[in-house]
Amino acid sequence: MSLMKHIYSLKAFLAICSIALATATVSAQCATFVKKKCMPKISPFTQNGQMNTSTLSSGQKTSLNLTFYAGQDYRILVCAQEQLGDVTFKILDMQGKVVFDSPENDYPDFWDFKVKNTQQFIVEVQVPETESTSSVLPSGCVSIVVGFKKG
Amino acid sequence: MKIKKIPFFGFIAISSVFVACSSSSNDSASEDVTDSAVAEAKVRDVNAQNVFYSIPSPIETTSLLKAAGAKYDSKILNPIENVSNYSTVASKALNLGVYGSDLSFTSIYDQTQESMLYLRCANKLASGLGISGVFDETTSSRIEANMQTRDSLLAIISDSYLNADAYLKENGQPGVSSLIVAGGWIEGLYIATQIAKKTKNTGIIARIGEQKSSLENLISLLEAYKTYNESIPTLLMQLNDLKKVFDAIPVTASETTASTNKEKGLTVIGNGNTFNLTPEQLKQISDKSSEIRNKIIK
Repeated sequence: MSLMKHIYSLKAFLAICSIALATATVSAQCATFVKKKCMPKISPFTQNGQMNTSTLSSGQKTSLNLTFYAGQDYRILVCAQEQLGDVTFKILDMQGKVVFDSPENDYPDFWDFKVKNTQQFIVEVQVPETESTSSVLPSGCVSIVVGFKKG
Repeated sequence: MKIKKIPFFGFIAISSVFVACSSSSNDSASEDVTDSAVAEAKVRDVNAQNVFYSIPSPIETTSLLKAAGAKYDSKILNPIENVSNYSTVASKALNLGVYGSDLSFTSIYDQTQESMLYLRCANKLASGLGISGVFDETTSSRIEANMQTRDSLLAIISDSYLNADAYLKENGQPGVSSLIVAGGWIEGLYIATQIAKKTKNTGIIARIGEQKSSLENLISLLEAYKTYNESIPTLLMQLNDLKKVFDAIPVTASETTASTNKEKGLTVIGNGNTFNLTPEQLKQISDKSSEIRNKIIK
């Protein structure tokens, strides 16, 4: 009985170690992807110094809440690994009104804008559902990068 | 039993080497994420609900202060001599944020000598947190080479903070990263309130009122990591006290409008919220932010 308990504990510990190891590896790979593939696209804006990156699979969503100040121009860049397909994004104000929807604007990966008054927006990113019949859903890194410059 | 322990310790040893390698060779890491790794990470993402809370960078808020007409005043910054006072992880992280704001302030006002001194403070604290390759000699050389080009200078500072943020998140320390962000935001608010107190500049006072939503985002960010570091719950209590003052600010809200200039590729968002800060509320914010900031830098 005691031996079985030890084996179960060992299995649970190994499972936790595997998840921790996989998480660290994925996180490092996402950071590299963002630095190499996403950051160059934020120019001529200055990125805001924070990395908002997640690993998503088919059909999953991620969102970012951020304040945008009057007097600045902004770029919101949504950057995703190719295997995820056409990742879309929309910008909503705090009342839930959509102020920008990427599918309605020919699927750009960034949006440039300025606000007349300081505003908080929610950037909502959606990974499309896969049409594949494979049991393994495609997954990859998604990053929301915010850049600013003097307006 | 012995037979069963051998593969277990073997696994731990291999895992340790694997983790060490992955954290020390980030630049050469493959861009392709393996299916098995992703399958495990999926669980984490679903649980975290995939919601990020971001705070404007110190460079952005300092730029706004300058645009509003603020004058440079070195006396309100955290003295560089204080850098040796910070021994805990939390005090190093918070003050890395504080010095980051001060570095942004000196750089935006072209104070070359002060910028180099604040860069050294940031370097010392980043090294103390085990963050390698940021605010180091390479950064210092890049800054020296770009002293005359303010935009490049600000981009270098932003890159350094992004790299620090990425390093900490890659290495399982997002709570430390959130403390750096918090320190930077609090110092930015402190600088703004000190200037507003002296000058009564209406542009700066308006910028202070607008920090209401950033404070809400900062609290949400810290809430997500409150179990990572014992200093976070204390800081959250102080920030929630500050939030009570901000919550009392009357907000005039109007429906947002959007118009796009297709040629320029720029959308202008009209209307939105206006924060009507009273002199008494400004004083309360100023007092509360000074209290929080002075506890951080002591």
